[in-house]
Amino acid sequence: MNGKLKTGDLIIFAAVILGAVILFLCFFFRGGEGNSLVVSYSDRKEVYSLEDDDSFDIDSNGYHLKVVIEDGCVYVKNADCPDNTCVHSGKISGEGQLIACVPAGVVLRIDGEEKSYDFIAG
Amino acid sequence: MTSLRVKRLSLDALLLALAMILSYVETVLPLSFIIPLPGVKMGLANVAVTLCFFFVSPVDAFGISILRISLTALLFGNVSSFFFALSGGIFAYLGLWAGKLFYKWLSFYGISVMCAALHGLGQCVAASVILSEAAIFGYLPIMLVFSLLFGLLTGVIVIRLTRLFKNA
Repeated sequence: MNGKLKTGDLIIFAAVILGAVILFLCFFFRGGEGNSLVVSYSDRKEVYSLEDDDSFDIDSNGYHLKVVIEDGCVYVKNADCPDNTCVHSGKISGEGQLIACVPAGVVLRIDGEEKSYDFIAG
Repeated sequence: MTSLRVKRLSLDALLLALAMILSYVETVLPLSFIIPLPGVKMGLANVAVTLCFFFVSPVDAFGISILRISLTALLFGNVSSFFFALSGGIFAYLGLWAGKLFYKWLSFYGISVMCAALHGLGQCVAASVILSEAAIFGYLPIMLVFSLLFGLLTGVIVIRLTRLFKNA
């Protein structure tokens, strides 16, 4: 085993890229613009419409997130979690896109119309 | 016999220290500002685990991986980051075994990329279980792309360092 590329390496690279492309197509090309926001945290699921501008607070796992719905986009305005990845994630609007705040255990996901949740889980 | 055991113990300790330092370096690097995705890391610590797996022993590599994850979580992390890292670490360790089984057809580039991809998969599995939200797998495509990039990076480092081990 040394520094030279072998056949198996190329197969692995191809498999990783192929897996990424297939998963990407499965998750993000199912309808384009979403029209609802599904917020899930601590066994709760709440659905918000993207039609109306809105902002609300989430308290979960001892952390506090401020979520804003604006012009059909969703973003986390501020959060007091240690990594702030959710705030850095920016705005999401397309169906299937998501923002996850791991320390708070919150997932924000854009959903399309009349799509059943189980379909995505399967 | 005794000197061999001492050598093995010393190498393990050295590699665990290396893994810890590399984990720390990753927490300091502001990667999350450039790539705002949870769980995307360079996986530099896997360099130490891979070296241990192939040049000391697979069993010791598992110990180093688990110790590194536990100690890193204690020092710089939190409870949830521990479970993601643990799941990712175990998946990546399985990748090392796959690399050992198919070593005739693989170099450290392929093995590192495979470990990085499996690490991402393991993190997604843990995240989807903890957050009970299957949509987490939506992160996997972009994580796989980065695992190719960072897997090649760690692969280069491993290959550079193997020369030291061959002379040891």
